[in-house]
Amino acid sequence: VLSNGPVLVAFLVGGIAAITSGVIGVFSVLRTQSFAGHSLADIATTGGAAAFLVGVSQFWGFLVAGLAASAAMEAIGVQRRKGRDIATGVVLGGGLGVAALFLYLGTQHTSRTGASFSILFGSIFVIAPGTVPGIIAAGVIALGTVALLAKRLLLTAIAPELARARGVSVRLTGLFFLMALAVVVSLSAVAIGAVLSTALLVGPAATALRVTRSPVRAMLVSASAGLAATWAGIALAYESYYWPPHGRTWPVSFFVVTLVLAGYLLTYLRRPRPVVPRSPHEGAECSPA
Amino acid sequence: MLSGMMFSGLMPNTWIAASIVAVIAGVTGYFAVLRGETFAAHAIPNGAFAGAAGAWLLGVNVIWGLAVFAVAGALGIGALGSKARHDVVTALTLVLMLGLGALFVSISSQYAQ
Repeated sequence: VLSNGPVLVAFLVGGIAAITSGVIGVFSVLRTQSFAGHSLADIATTGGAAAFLVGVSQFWGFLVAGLAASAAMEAIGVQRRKGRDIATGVVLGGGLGVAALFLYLGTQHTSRTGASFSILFGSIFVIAPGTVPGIIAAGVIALGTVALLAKRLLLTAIAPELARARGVSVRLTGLFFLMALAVVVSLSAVAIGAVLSTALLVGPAATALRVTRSPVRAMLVSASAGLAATWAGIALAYESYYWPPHGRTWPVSFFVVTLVLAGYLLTYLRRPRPVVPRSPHEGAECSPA
Repeated sequence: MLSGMMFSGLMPNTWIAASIVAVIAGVTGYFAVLRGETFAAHAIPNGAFAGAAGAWLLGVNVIWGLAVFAVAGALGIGALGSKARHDVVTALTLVLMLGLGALFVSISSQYAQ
């Protein structure tokens, strides 16, 4: 398997996407922004379609559309918990409408009908090696942003009033987080498809947060679970060439999603931890300290 | 000015179908927004596409596939959502249905070749 160039690139890019999504996912699950994460991935298809139309690498299209959408969500009012999912839904609807137009124009010009399918569901085995440095750079930038903001992100998620009282700008923190989220989502959209990048963002993080309460440990568990699911998914997809119906591989995204979901459902088998009354100091892991 | 084509040929069906959808969605959407279920409102129709792909694979009417997956998705979100974070469960249900859809489409395009 490992002597195959495209498969090696798939392992590399898939691995980077899984780790960065796993780490950022913990914050987006804690901040109840799964919908935003999924929408940014969906809207990134607009950029993917535009890039396809212009003839640029899809990666840049994904990135630009994701960043623009995160700014639009913030402008409409994603920072208020109540208006959050409506702002997300409005931006998502607009983005998908534009994507439909771009895809239509793109297929008109090039008569490649598979375009919408490959943009939505990804094509991890046909990533141009030239885009790999960009993908690594985007991952590092997003992880760096989140590392710098980690304490503020947790504080504004758990106790926004307290954060405001301490002089933390809830709005600016939220905007930077959404932008980091957009970068990560565009990254994993290239890897396993715009739609299914949601799986890597939400699944491993939700699994980890059911297993441990410490954010740092949750990030480690989440990143490793995502990595395991992605690599196993790629290996299974490669192997599925020999499965019925013969002659072609099953989609990678199907395997990754199934593994991620299986991991999440496994946590339901654990007996819930007895609720021990906690001293105020014990919760220090979650507080900005 | 409206051109002559606007109300002839296939266009009447387009007007009728779009109007029905717009009115039903407007009424249902009121409750979806009020209850903060926008994500579910997006996830269920999105994921139901997998049902259409599956029905097409089996040679059944696509409407049945859509209906079965839409109801199954809603039940899944409802069942798991009572015990865990609602948006997480919605996202995972959506993603599972889309993964199945990708599989169905890839299998049927293999048969088509």
